[in-house]
Amino acid sequence: MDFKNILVAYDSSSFSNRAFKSALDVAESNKSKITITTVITGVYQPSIGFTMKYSEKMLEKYTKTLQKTFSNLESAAKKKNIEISLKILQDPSVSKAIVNYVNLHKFDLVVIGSHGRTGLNKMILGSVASSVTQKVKCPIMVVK
Amino acid sequence: MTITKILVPIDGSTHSLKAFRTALDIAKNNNAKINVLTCLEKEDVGAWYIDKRTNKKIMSDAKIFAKDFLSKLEKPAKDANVPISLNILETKSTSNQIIKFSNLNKIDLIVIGSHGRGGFNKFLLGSVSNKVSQIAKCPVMIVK
Repeated sequence: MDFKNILVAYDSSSFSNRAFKSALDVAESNKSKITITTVITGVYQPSIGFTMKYSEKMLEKYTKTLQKTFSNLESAAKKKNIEISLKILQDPSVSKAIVNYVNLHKFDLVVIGSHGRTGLNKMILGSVASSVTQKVKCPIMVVK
Repeated sequence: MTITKILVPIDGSTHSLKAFRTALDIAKNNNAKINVLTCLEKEDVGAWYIDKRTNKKIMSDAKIFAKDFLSKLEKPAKDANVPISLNILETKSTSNQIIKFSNLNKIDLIVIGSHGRGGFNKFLLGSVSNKVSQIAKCPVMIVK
């Protein structure tokens, strides 16, 4: 089995940074492509009930900051000659968005950190990591 | 993260063999060593209340079967030039034994099948792979 297409679920937490690092290692030995995904869950706003869309101003702001963190990752990947791209998803549920995206596209491996930005991180998996590991249809690597 | 020691828990199911194949590829790329682990669960089986020796006999028979099965894995590993070590352990709990083994032997990566031999395998993870992915201290790759 060759890991040509690798997806990294990224939320700029230390765990996802570690996941990204190990994805780089895997990609280096397999000469594969990395896709970084982040999910924007959106903030509460009164109009959301009517339009079900996020305000464009907010979205622009988010995308800009994401682009900034992505450029850091990109330079790290370029050093190792690895192709990298960014995909921003919008969904109220982070895990659902990731699972849908992975199942609809052809990925050979998903790399995810064991915990994200919320919750207690002692023993068990984080909620997103655990539901993604259960529902995704391709091999998945959980990095601790 | 350099991967030098890979642990593959094997129970003879197709999922675990798939995991083994994936682990071989990773080991080839990283010059890593593969540890294969089979856990035989100690249970009171057979007519132990009549003759205490039945349990021992069943266990020793199971060990012979497991050894036979694991020795089949040696050939593909040799073809791929990957050093491999086979471990058969008696235990009360499979998942705990896998986690203990990975901690004691300083394993860098556990490659495990998403389902084993028990339970219905539609959506979710099997119980052993679920527990291992949650509690193990090293990265865990789940192969579907």
